[in-house]
Amino acid sequence: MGRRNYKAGVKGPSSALTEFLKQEGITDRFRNRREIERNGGNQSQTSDQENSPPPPNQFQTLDQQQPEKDDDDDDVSLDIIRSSPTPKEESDDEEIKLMRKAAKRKLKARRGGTTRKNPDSSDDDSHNDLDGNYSSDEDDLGNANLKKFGELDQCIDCGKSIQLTVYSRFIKEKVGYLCDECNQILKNREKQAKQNQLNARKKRKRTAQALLNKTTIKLPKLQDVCIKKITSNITDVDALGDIGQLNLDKISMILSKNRSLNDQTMTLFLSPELKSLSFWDCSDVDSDSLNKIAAFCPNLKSLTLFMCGQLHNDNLQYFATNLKNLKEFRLNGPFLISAKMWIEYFNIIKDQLNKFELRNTHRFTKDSLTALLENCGKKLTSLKLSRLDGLVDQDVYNEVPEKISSNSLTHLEISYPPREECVTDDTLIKILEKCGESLISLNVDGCIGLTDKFLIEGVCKYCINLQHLSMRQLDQVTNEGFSQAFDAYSKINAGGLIEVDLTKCDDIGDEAIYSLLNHSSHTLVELSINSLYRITKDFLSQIFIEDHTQFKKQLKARVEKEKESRSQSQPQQEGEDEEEEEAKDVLHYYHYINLPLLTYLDAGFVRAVTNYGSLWR
Amino acid sequence: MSNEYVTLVSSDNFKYVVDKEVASISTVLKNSQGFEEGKTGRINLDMDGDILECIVEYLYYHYKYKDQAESGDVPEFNIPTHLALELLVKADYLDI
Repeated sequence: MGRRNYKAGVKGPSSALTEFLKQEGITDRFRNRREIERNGGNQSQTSDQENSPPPPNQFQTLDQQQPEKDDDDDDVSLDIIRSSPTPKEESDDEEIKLMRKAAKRKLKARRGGTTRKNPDSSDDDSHNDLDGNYSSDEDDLGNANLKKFGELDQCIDCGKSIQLTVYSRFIKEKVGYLCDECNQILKNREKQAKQNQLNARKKRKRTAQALLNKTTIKLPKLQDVCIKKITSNITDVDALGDIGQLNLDKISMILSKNRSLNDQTMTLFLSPELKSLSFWDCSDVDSDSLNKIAAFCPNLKSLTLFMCGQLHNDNLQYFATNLKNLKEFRLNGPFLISAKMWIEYFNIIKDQLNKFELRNTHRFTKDSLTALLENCGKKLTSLKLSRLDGLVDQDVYNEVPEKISSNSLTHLEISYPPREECVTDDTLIKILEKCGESLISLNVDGCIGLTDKFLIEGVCKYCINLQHLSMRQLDQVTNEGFSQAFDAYSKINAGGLIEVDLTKCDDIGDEAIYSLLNHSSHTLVELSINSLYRITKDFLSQIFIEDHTQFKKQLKARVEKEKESRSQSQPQQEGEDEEEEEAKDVLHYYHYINLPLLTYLDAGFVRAVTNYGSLWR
Repeated sequence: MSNEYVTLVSSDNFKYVVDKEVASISTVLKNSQGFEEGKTGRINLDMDGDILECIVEYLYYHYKYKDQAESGDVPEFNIPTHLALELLVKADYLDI
């Protein structure tokens, strides 16, 4: 019956939901389209019946569960593609059934909660007229063992006997009524829950607002309080009190750490007598303020600006003309300075600089490097070039040994070149040949083109005063090569190394470290063997157990015994430094190594240590 | 835990007896408990009495208001201007 009415396009009263959906322009066209897709080609035929606008005045009673269909009729003119009547009708049919069922359930619940009606009341009859399928739904209601108002019942919670009234609270989950007291408790609990919900919503809102305003709602750290106070009193120098240069450097670091070095706070550090200035985070200091450095501190000898992304060509030019005493210049991230400006800068300052450090810019090119070396090369004592992606040519550093004066360079860093070919063994050996004797610190992190050759023919031949060696990620350096190099190294470098960083030199293992420690154990202060996964537990335990212990003595005897038996079949091998080419089960003996000065050891990702960390003293 | 106390001693020998839980707001003070300071209950700090006073005040301020921070009605913590710089250095040391 209902469907026939619908076909004729008659509207019944519509529910609030339908009304809302209609207003929002949500129709069941989507469902139609999906239906069409499912039925493939069927859509070619369009139904005249559906496309014609519905006759307006034909009114018939329609059951309330059907109003969704009305939308369909309203949209008829808008619809471009229509399904063939058959599948659509089917889907509508199902839809109607589903909706009716839902409505029935709702009604049932409502009835159960408020009034105590017989399931087969007149309300339902009308629905039953339309469709007979709901009988199963109705049965559920009928099964509930409920009582009428005025009768005595037991409270479902406390078991107290109560007289039912219209106001008695029905609990759906437990199918029963509550007494007044239990109801009151429940009410309070609900009220509390609502309050909590409200508070949570308020809190969320505030957090979102704070995020939008770029403020935090955390309790401020004491450092933040101090920085705020300093910032607000920045112009009143006397009020902040005198604190001394050493502490000012510290404060500069703290401000950088808190990322609060900006145009205001930076003025705290500027004074005309200042000789040395370090800003570790200039990202919030603008170009004008950077100029102030040169304007207010003309006597600067040393200037360090890290993360100086706002340093412009103009700034560098101003620095060149105003900082006449600048000897040490360190920059990190000055990517706005053009290649041309670098050349200009070095041409202005001539041989003024003797320490130069540059990191993280792609605009420093081969010509810039040439200008630097030509102007300052002879006087340089420290040269640090890291992550300069503009220097891409093969052997781009070949100029370095030609332009620097021999044995004046004490610190050299050439690290993380953009390509493997940029730094080769031959280049580095040439550099070391020129300045190896004076070199105290050498850093070739990430120069992955380097092999054993640079150690054997470079470092171990020329660097007689070396104290710091950093060679991260040199995966072409082998265990044997490193071991051989350091065995030989003790002949020319008697002092020993103080800092060694071997992070991620994948091939290095026990023998290499053993040779290194034999050479430098008495001077070593910092050592990083991070990620050297070849280092074994046996090695580590042996070098930290003293030789006179029973365990070591027995071990030594056993190793010697084995060696004897082996030497009968094999040519003679050198005692303690056996190569690993031997079979795995060969015992090694390592003598005790004392590391009296070691204060920093990075043994991260060394499996033998992560499992046996207690061995380290 | 709440009735245990530590004594913070300034370089000019001012002593502040502080609830352990409050002192633990500073990770440095908290971690020092694993060493000798944990046994003696006394932590010598390289700062003047007036600086340490500010720091103890802040620790209690933090302890009192840490739960209310999100509701937003926390009074501002005030420090004397002439101590701001030095206090910043010490606060950085204590990580608070």
